[in-house]
Amino acid sequence: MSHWTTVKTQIKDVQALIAAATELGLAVELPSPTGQRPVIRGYATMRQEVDLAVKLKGRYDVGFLKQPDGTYQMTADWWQGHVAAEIGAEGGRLCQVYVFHVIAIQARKKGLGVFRSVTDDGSLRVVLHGRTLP
Amino acid sequence: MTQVVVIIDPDGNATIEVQGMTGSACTDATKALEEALGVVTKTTNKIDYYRQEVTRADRIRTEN
Repeated sequence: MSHWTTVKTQIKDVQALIAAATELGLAVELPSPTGQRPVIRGYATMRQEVDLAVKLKGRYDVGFLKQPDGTYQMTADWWQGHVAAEIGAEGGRLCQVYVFHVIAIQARKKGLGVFRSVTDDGSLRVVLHGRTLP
Repeated sequence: MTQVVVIIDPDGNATIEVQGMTGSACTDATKALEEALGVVTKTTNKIDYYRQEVTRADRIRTEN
């Protein structure tokens, strides 16, 4: 064991976010070619325009707003846990699968093999290996 | 054998560990991943990092 880093995740890879939503069985909506932004559902008639919408199966959705620094901030109506039931508390499950897909995309670029398993505490364990590691 | 192990907790935060590599090569191996994932909050160099110029005395010291 040599080097250990802890990373606070920032959503910035749209391709990985779409892959994560797809893995969870959720559809993604992006702005239309004419620039019309997708809309997410919240409590009652509340709606919000976002830069990327993940359409949930329940009554509310989750959206992402692009920030000036290029990262995407998650936004949702967390009332009564409708959203958390589908994507985890504060979107943790979606975020977890997103991180996996960021890694998988990076690994593919470098020709590395990827193994994924689930640990007892619900973490994902991802192992990268291959000759292109220095 | 060199490999990179990433543990992603249920909140979506990641811990990246390089195994079987010495010196700054490990830092290079994880840099692209760290940049793709987000903000690094903590870095720890393990014993192997300091084995780049190993003397017998160093080895005895680090293994005890």
